[in-house]
Amino acid sequence: MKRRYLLILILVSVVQSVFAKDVINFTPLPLKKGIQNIEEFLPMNGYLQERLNIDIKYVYKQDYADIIKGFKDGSIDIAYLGPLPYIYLKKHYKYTMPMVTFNQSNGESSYKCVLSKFKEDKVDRSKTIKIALTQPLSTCGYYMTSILLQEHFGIDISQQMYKYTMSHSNALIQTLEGRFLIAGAKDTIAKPYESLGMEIIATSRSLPGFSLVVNTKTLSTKQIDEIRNVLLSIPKDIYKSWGGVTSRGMVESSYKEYEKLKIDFDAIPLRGNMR
Amino acid sequence: MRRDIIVSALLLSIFAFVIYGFLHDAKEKDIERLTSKSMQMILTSYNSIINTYKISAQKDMNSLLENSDAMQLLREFKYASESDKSIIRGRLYRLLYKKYYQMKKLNIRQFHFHTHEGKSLLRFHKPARNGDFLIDIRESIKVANQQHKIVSGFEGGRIYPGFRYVFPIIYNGEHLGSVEFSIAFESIERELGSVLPSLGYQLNLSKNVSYDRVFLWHRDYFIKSILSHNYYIENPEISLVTKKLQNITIIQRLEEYIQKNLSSISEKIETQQNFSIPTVIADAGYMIHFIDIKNTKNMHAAYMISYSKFDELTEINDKYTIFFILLYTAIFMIFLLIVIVSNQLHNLSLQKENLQHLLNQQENIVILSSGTTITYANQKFFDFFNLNSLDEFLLKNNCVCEKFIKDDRFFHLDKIKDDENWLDIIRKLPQSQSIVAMMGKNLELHSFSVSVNIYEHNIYILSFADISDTMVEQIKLQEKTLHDKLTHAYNREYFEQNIDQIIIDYTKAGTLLALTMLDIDFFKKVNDTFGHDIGDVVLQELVKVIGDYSRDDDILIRWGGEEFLIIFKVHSKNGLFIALENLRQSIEKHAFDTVEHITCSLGSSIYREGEMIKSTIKRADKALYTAKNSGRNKVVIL
Repeated sequence: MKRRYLLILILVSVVQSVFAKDVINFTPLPLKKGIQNIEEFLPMNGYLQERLNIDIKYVYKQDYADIIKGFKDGSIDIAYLGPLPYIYLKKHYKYTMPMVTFNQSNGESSYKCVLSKFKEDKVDRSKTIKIALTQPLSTCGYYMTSILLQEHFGIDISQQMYKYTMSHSNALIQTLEGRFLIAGAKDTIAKPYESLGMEIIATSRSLPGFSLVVNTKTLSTKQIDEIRNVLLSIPKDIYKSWGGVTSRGMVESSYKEYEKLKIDFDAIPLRGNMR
Repeated sequence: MRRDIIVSALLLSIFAFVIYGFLHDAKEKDIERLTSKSMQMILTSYNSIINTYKISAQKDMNSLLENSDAMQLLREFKYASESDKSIIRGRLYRLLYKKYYQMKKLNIRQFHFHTHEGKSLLRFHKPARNGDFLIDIRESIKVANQQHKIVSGFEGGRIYPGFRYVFPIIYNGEHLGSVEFSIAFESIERELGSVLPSLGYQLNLSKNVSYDRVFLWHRDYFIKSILSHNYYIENPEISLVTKKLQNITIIQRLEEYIQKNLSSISEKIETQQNFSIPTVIADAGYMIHFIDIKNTKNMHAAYMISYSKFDELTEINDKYTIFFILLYTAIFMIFLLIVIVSNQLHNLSLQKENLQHLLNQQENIVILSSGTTITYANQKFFDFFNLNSLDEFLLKNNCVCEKFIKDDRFFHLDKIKDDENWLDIIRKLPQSQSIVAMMGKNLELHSFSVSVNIYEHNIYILSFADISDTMVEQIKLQEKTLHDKLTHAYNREYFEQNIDQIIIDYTKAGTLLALTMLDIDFFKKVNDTFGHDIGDVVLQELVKVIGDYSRDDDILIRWGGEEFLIIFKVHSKNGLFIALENLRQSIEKHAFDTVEHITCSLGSSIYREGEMIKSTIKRADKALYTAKNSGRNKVVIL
C-alpha cells in the first residue's frame, strides 16, 4: 500500500515538473491602487526571474476576498499576505501554505500591530472616537486594533466610529490629516510616521510575519522548493539594497506560529460604521 | 540591336535617372516639410503645456506665500530642535494636505518642501519619507536654496523624475527653504493626448536622471529603453503610460522598426536634438518624433518619443508612386515610339537606298523638286553636271531651271511670267514642247524631254530624257523646212508658223513690230546680164549684208524671188526709218562680187494692235510699191 502511494507521489511530482509553470502570478497586498504595492517587490521578483528563468506577472486585487477567489480559480500562484488573511485563506482554500516570512526592521520575522495618533490630538474617552482601519481581513485591522483598544484603553471598538481605509499607510495618513483620532497599522509602517508627529500609543505582542503564500495547486512542490531556496539564499548585501519589506531578508515560514492565532472571523465586520 | 536604339535607351535611362532623382528629392522635401510642421505642432503644444504648468506652479507658490500659518511653521521648523521638527512637519502636513489634494487634481504629482539646508522636509506624495539630503543630487534645490532663484525644467530625483518648478521660500526677507511642484510625465502625456491626435508618448530618460539618481531600492522603477544603454523608461509594472504603450500593437511594431534601424537612429540620438522618423508600416503612414527634453541646466535629460499616425506620408507616397509610374510609362512609350520610328526610318532608308539604286540605274536624269529647289537627284544628274553632291549644286543654284538654255526652240524661264512656277507651265505643255536644253560638263548642249509627275504634295518627280540626237535631226529637218535653201534666210513657212508668237513676244516686250518688205531694184537685169548663178550669189551676199547690219532679234525672211521681209523690233516710226535708211545705204555702198553695186527699195509698216497681220503686210507691200514707183532705192513707211 505504501509503495502504491509512493508511486503515485512520484508520478504526481514528475507530472508537476513536466507541466511546471513558466509564468508565476504574483499579487501584493490588496490596495485601491495596486500598482503602488508592487514597487517594493520589483527587485526581489526581478532577482527570482533572473535566477529561475521564469516570468513573474503582477495580479492586482482590491481586497482579500478577491485574493481568495484568485487562489481558487488558479489566477494567483503567490501572494504577499499577513497572518490573518493567510488563516482566512486557509480556512476557505486548503491548497495553500506560507513559503517564506519577511524579517522586520528588528531583524525578526515576527511583527507587531500598533495604535498610532497625532501627538497633539487628545483621546477623550467620554466622546465617540474615530478609528482608521486597514482592511477587514488585515491582521492589524479590526482584529488587532480592537484588542489593543480594549487592552490599553478599555475602549470597545464596536461602540466607536471606524472605517476601513484599505491600507496601513492610508490609515496613518488620514489620521495625520485629522480625519481620525487613532490609526491601527503594522509597526514597521507606523514607525516612519513618527517623523510627522505621529506617536505609537499601543503595541501588540509579536505576530507571525508577513509571508509569501503559495498556491500548491498551481505550483509544483519542486518549483516551490526552488523559489524558497533562491529566496532564502539571497546574499545580505543584495537584499539590503532593495528597500521596503524585502530589504531585511526572509526566513522559512513556520506553520506553528499561525496555528497559535485563534481568530473569530464572524466577529470581524466586513464594513466600517462611518462614511 | 541597332546602335540608334541602344543610344536612345541609354539617353532615356539617363533622363529617367535624372527625373527620378528630381522626383525623389521633391518627395523627400514634401515629407520633410510635413514632418517639420508636425514636429513644430508637437513642440508648440509641449511648450504650451509646460508653460501652463509653470504659471499654475507660480500661482500655487504665491498662494503659499500668502499663507502666514504655513510660513510660520516653516520658520519654526528652521529653528526647531530635532525632536520638535516631527510635530511641526505633521502640523504642516495637516495644514496643507487639502491644498495638495487640489493640486493632485490639477496633475501636480509632487508637492515637496525642502529645508534651507537642502534636505527633504516634507513630501506630500510620500510623507513618511523625509530628512534625506537632496542638495547634492538635485541641481534645482541647490540653486533655489543657495542662489535663491526659481528653477524649472525636467529633473531626476530620489524617487521619480519629473518636470520640476522649484521656488525658494523667502518670507519677510528670510530664507526658509524651498518648495517644488512637480508634474509627472503622465500628466504631460495626458495633456498632449487631449490636444494632438497621437498613438502614445513614451519618456526615455537619460540614465543619469533616472537609474543613477533614484534611491538604490527604486532602481527597479526603471527598465532599459530600446534606444540604448544610456536611456531608461519607467517600469511598465508601475507606470500606466508605459504599460498602455505595451498593449498597443502598432507601437510595438514601431518599436521593432526603431530596433531594426537603431544603427542609423543612434547617430541622431547622440546629437541629443529633436528629430523625426516618418515611416510606412503595413501601408499606413506613421510619424515618430524624438523630442529633446531639457533639464534645469538646459541640457539634454530625456527623449520624449511621440508615436502618431501620419496619413500624409502614404498620400505623398501614393502621389509620387503615380508620378513614377507615369514617368516610367512615358519613358517606355517614348522608347517604344523611338523603336517604331527608328524601324520605319531604317526601312525608309533601305527603300531610299533601293530607290536611289533604281534611279541611278535610269538612263534619264531624275530629280525631286518643288520647282524652286531640288531635294533629290540621281547619279545621272551629277554625271551630267560633273558634280559630287546635291549640296555642291545647291551652292550656286536653287533650281534646275536655272540651267535651261534660253533658246526659243526650247522651254526656258523667259517664256513664263515671274509669278508662275515653271513646273506648272511645263506640265501643261504638250510633250513636243516640254523640251529644255542644258549645257553638260563638256559644254555640249543637250536637249531633254521633260516629264513631270507628282511625288507628294508640292514635290514632283522630274525625268529628263536626253533627246539630243533626235533633236539634232529634228532641228536639221526644221532648218530645211523653215529656211530658204539658197540664202538660208527664213522662208514664208517660218513666218506662217511663228508670226503669232512673235507678235505676243513683241507685245510683251512693249516694243513695236515693224514689217519691212525689201526688194532688189532691177534684179531681172542682173539675171539677164550676169546669169541666174550670179543672181543667186547676189541674193546670198545680200542676205549676208543684211545679217551683218541687223540686230540679233531682227528676223529676215525670203519672201519670194528677190523680195525679202524683215521683222524689226522698234520703238518709233522715226527710229524705224533711220534703221531702214541705214540698211538701204549699207546695201547701196556694198561692193557685190561681179555686179559690184545694187540698190534696194524698202516699204515698211508698223503692226497695229489687234489687226490681222495680213493687213500689216499689205501696207508694207503698198509702201514698197510706193518706193518702187517713186524712183526706187528708197525707204517708205506707211
